[in-house]
This record gives sequence, C-alpha cells and structure tokens, in this order.
Amino acid sequence: MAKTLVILDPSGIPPPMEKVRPAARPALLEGVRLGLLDNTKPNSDKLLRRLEERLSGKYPIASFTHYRKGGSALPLEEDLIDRMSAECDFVVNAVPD
Amino acid sequence: MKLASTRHEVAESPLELLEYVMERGWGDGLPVIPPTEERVAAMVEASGRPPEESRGRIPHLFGDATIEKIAVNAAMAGCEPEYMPVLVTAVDAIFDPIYNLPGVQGTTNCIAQLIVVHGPARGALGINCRENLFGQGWRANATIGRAFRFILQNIGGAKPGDTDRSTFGHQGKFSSCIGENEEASPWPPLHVERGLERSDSAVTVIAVDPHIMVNDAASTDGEGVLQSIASSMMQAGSNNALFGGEMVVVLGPEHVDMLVRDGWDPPRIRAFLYERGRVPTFLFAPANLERARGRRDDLMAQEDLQSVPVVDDVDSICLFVAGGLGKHSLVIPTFGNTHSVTRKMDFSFTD
Repeated sequence: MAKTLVILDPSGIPPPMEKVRPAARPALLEGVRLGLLDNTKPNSDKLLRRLEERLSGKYPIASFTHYRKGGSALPLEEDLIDRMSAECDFVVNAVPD
Repeated sequence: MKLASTRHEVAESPLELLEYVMERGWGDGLPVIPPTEERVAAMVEASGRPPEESRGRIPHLFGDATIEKIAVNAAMAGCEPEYMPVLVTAVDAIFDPIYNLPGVQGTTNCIAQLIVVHGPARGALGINCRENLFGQGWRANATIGRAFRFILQNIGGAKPGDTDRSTFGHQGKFSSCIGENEEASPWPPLHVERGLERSDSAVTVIAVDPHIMVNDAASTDGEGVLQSIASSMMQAGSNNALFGGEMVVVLGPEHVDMLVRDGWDPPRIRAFLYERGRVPTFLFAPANLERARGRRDDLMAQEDLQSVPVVDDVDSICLFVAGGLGKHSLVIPTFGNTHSVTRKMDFSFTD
C-alpha cells in the first residue's frame, strides 16, 4: 500500500439533537385566533391578505392578527414571539419573493 | 496535547488527499495541506488557548468552534501557526449580534466575509496592506482568508450549493483578508477610531458584496475624488439602498494624499459621502423603492422623499486606507442587514 498519513477531521460538532414535539394543531378552525406573519419579503403581505380573504369567507375564525418581522434576514424578535404566543392559537408565516 | 477530532488515514499523495477532502465537502477545490496531529498541535499552541476551549457555535449547523477545530481548518488552509490569533479573534467578532451571522451564512446574496487586520500584527505576520492586497501573492492574506472560509464552511456547515445557497457566490469566498495601510495617512486607523490603541493589534470583520473600483485620476482636488466615490456608492439595486446598514470605503493612498493636502479628515469625508452618496428616488424601480420604504420606516415616512441614504447613519460608513500607488479607491457595499465588528487581539505582536 502507498504511504499514508493521519489527518484530523475539520468538521464542527453540532450540539446534541433534542427531540421537540410540534405544538398541538387545532382540529377545527372554528373559533381559533389566527396570526399571519409577514417576513418582509416582497409580496408576503399580499399573500397573507389573500389568505385572510379566502379563509374568512369559508371558516368561522375568531380573529386574524397581522404581524411583521423586522427583516427577512434578521432573527425573529423575542417579544414578537411572545406576543404571537399570547394572542394566537396558530400562526401562518409567509416566505415568498 | 490531547486532540479530540476524529482521525482519518489518507494516502500521502497530494492528489489523493485533495480527492479525499473534496469528497467530504471540506475543501474549496484547491489543494490543501494535510492537517496532521503535529501541525494542528503547533497551531493550538500558538493560539495560547487550550484545544477544547469553545469560542461559540457557528450557524447553520451550530458546530462548535473550539480552538482545535479552528486549528484544523487553519492547518488545512496552509496557515502558519502564528496566524491563529487573527482567526480566533475573527471568529469571536462574528458572534456580535450586529454582524447578523445567521443572515450572512444563510443568504442568497453574494457575500464574502472580509477580515481587515490592524496594528502591529500586520508587520509581524506579513499581512499585505499595499499593492494587490485583495489579490494573490501573500501567504498570510491568502491562507488566513482561506482558513476563515473553511471555518464558516466546515464548522458552521455552510456548504456551497447545499446549505450555502448564494445565487452567485463571490470570488472573495476563496479568501478575503487584508491589512489596513495605516502608514499611508496621518489619520487614526480604524481600530483607533473605534476606541483601541495604535499599539493594539485588532481585527475587523465585514460581510461584503463585490467591490466597485473608483477610477479618478483626473480630479486635482479632494472634493473631486470624493464626488467620484460618492457616485459609486449610489446603487439603487444594492442591499445598502434597500436596507441601509453599513458600507465600506477603502481610500487608496494617492487619493488620501490629495484629501490630506486639502484638509479633509475622516469625519468630514463621511459627512460628505453620506450626503452626496444618497440614491435619488427616480433611479429606483418603483416596487423596489416601495420595499425600501417598508424596511426603513424611520427614513421613508417623508412624503416628498427625493433621495435615499445608502447607510443607516453617517458613522455607518466604514472608512479606512489601504492599497498601493494609483489614483484609485474602492467602494464595497455590504449585505445591508449587517454592521462590521472590530475586536482587539488578545495577543501582543512586535512589528
């Protein structure tokens, strides 16, 4: 066999994976408080407005609340996460371009 | 010294080593130096830190940037052990939230992560600050910049074409490391402007778009030169026009000579460029102007908006001197959603 040498692995070790159970989904849309999160990418506001129009004609949703991130390339603000958790049963996030 | 990384037995042949590295997604396409235990240990030792010490977790994959992993990547890139403090400091700097590392690592934009070295470390390590400093030919510049990209790719997990989905990439993703040409102006260098001592060595990291070269060999006064630079900052399609943030202006020494002669200094230069570099609103595509208004509420509330500043504020023009002879300067737009970070190297160098 040709001569060999031993090298060290340059890859980073990711943190141990933690199993996270997804939040419970409402079985019915009736009476739910729906959040609509705009990530600031162009047209995400239009997509969410259209979604609201279509859902509101079809289901007895209790409320629609619109939210907007500071910027698509920025992390979602902690206080916005807290507000959405308090004010919504579930949230739809639009990520178009 | 106890090193924890997984060992791989590879053929000694440079070609087979390159193939092995490329198959595992560790490389950049160019030949690498084998990161042997002996070489990595020398790197760790030169850092003055223990191998297991973590400097933070780098997105996307949040791999642990230990001194040892920084050293393995530095060895593979061809660094000399004494370059380690530059890399460790640059890694520390990118964790500052104003840098927005998750955005920079994850974007479709064309971003290189530029290291600028200040202070005595430049001379001690042989970091080029003059002719062709962004180009080839200097081992310290080439291998420090290359090692930094390996760190972002291999520890952070930003793999080109996979988890790094930049639309076009950037030539500077092979390597981007320069020194500030502190000797070419009477002004305080960038790290001193930012509160450090001239005798300190420091690193600034900046998430940059491709460069725009400013060619002005005709102006015979400083104001003319600044007008040419300002008009090169005026790009309606740039991230800076859309999002503000910070923009870099690298003044070439011959332009600096004229500016100094005419009594300009960095605060006045920034103020001039901030005003004259604004993008007139008629240059924007209407939908893009609407987007900029939506993202920059504080600036865009004005009904009769005539022009858009390309940075958040006057101090967000990152101004320094670099390069060699020639009547040129550089404008370097950035990711926009980012600010540069300067950190002192916790290490003393003798120039």
